[in-house]
Amino acid sequence: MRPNELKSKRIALGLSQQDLSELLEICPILISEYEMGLTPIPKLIELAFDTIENRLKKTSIKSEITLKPFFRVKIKKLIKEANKAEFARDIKTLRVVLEPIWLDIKKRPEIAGYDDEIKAEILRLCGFYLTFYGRANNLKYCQETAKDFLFKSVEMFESLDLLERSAEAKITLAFCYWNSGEVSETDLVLNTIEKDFSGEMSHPLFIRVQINRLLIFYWNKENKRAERLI
Amino acid sequence: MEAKEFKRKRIRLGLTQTELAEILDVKPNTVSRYETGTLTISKVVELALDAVERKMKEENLLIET
Repeated sequence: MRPNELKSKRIALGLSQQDLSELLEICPILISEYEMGLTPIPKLIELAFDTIENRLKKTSIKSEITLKPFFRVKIKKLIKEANKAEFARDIKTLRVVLEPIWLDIKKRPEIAGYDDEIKAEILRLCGFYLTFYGRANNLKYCQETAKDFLFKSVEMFESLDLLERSAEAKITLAFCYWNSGEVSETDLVLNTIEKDFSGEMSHPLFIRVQINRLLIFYWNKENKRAERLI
Repeated sequence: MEAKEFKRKRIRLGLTQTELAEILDVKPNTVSRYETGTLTISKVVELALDAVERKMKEENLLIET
């Protein structure tokens, strides 16, 4: 196997060098050396990679069994794609991306067996989807389910001491209140994030809160307050 | 993967230690050391052995026992 071939196959599988090194249980630097041609690719690695390629192509996220490391990589790839769709506000694509782990939007996604950080992020993404889907289709139950997912996500991120991730989930929760027409609750949630980042006015999350707050001022026709904030 | 399982798999594939060593491109005594437990079987080796088994199945090289 040539260095370029390993690299292109790895990329085609959506794996980072780190992901591949985790699956092979070798040092990430080795992957980089193989791909740059600094170290010859041993036959063992070539064969092992072949198995990884085969399993990743065959396995579905839903069937867990004994392939946990493979699923971890697959779910990380799914989250990455979902984050991209979320960033682009592409709700249709987000639904397609989340479908393998979330068939019925009235139920919780299938997250058993994953690490808490992954569970929390999936709940946040599902909450994000529901709140926008619910708003577009005027479905109240979507907002309620979204709130349930998002509260759980915030709680999990906080218990892991991941404050920035928790703030992300809170921003999604604020969206959810906003989409439900609960403006004062939106304000309250934004207040809690603002408090967490009060000393860091240039922090992206603090700025996002301010942008969302502007939206509330605009909605409430509080132009003076909006001007002051700007 | 344990040494015994490695050995069982090699035998099931109908390969000698030398043949498997050739396929994996390792020294023949490395296979022997895997099977006696004197050398730890890494994840890479385990995955490589799976690939050998799969390729032999694909090419109908496995003898039904």
